[in-house]
Amino acid sequence: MIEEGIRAELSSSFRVLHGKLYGALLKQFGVTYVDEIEDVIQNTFLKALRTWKPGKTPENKEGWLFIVAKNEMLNYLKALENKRKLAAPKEAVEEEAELRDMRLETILFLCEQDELSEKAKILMVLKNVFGLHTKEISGATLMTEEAIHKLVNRSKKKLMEVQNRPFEEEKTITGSATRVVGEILYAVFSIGFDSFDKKTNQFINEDLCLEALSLAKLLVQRRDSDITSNLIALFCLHLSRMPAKIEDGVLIPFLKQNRGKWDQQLLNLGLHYLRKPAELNAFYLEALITSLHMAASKLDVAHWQQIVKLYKLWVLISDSPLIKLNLAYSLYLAGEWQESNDMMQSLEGILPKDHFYFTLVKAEMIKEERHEDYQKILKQVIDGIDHDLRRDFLISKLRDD
Amino acid sequence: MKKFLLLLHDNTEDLSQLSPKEMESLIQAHMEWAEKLATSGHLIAGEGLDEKSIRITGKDSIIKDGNFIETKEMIGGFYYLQANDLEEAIELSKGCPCHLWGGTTEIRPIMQYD
Repeated sequence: MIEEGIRAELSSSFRVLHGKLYGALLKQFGVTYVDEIEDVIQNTFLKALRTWKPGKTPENKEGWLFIVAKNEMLNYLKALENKRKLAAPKEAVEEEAELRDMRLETILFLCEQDELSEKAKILMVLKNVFGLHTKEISGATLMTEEAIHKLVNRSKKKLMEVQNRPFEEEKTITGSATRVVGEILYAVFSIGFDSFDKKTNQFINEDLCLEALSLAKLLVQRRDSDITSNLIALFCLHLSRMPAKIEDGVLIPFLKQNRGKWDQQLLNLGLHYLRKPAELNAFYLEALITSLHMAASKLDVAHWQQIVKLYKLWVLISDSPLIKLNLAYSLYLAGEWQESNDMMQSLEGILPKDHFYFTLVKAEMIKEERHEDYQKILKQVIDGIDHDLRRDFLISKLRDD
Repeated sequence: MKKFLLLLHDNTEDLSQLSPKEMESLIQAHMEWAEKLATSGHLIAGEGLDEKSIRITGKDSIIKDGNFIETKEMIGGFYYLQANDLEEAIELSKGCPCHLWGGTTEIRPIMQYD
């Protein structure tokens, strides 16, 4: 099973370790030092680069990095003390022998900082807890590196100004915290799932998705809720399709994948966590729609009518234009052309003119009647694209249709 | 066999911009490269260097702090290699992971009289 296979490797990856070190240092030294903590972790990794070599690598890498980071932090504080006449926090010297995984606590802690906007919270979590670099975040979120930098730096300043807040462990997780953390894990997962790595020409950043999944599992253990359970269902259902997503270097769309390649264990796990919630939520609807697509023996009008019903529920609780776009496409496939058309019209001006999926759906809808226009649009999209895999996918589509 | 010192001039600015994942793969790459060189018998030694640096000058032995911290480039480490000739040493050194992220390497043949 995919999940088990890379778990061992995962737990010691530098990205995970970044999250663990950040949590541990933040707990010991407090938010006043958020800036220094980041530098210290970077320096710690640099020390590993300089000293590890074949036959001389610490057996317990995690412990080694933790001790080095702590010492580095204390040195940093001493230097600061001299420079700024700041007193180093005394309690910081407390001995903590091993590095504990406090990534979930760290996310909860950052979520509670009211000074930060939602966007800033997500960025801080991506950067520090999931160890993503600004350029990786930029590639996945369409925010420029500069914008990310600015927002993160502003947020750090705000945190440094506030009085040190205690970083509590084993605290009770409230319902609203569950929702915010769920949103953040969803964002992380989406970045992992849609990320495109030019170097490896791969679409999925597996480890990021699996980390989001493992933290969601931790969250549901700490506080059972419909929201988190459905979030896990959603993660598992999407992950189960990973082995079929790319074939011979070509991207295969969901509904055309070889179902025999789907990971049955993950699929079953997904269905296990899928749970009808007391109050409708987006994770449940997305998981349910995904499961219906995966279970359908044929994708006929009846199937799409069922999907339309669910999207109609979804637009009631979400104002995302992308959900409307999905609804419009489902309506089209369900034979409700007029309604579909109206919905597409309503999205003009809301979604950018050159929006990738918006354009593709528009093209798809005129494929039968105005085939030449369809091909023209597709060619335009191909020209404007810088993903090799996506481009190949569209080119093959143009050839086959 | 001739001996060569391969100096690794790291670009500290570029290094500090590496993501945790890239840093991890860089360490991994150095390990694999060193292991390969050891197996083929080309590696004599290799060490990473601390950024601390003390310079002592002149007959009065004036001691100066030569830390590289403020500069963009520093010698981050070295490999001590042996090869048949300079050409082979160059070929070997091309594979040094130091180059992956903007670093420069410098080959200094050990002077020999025989």
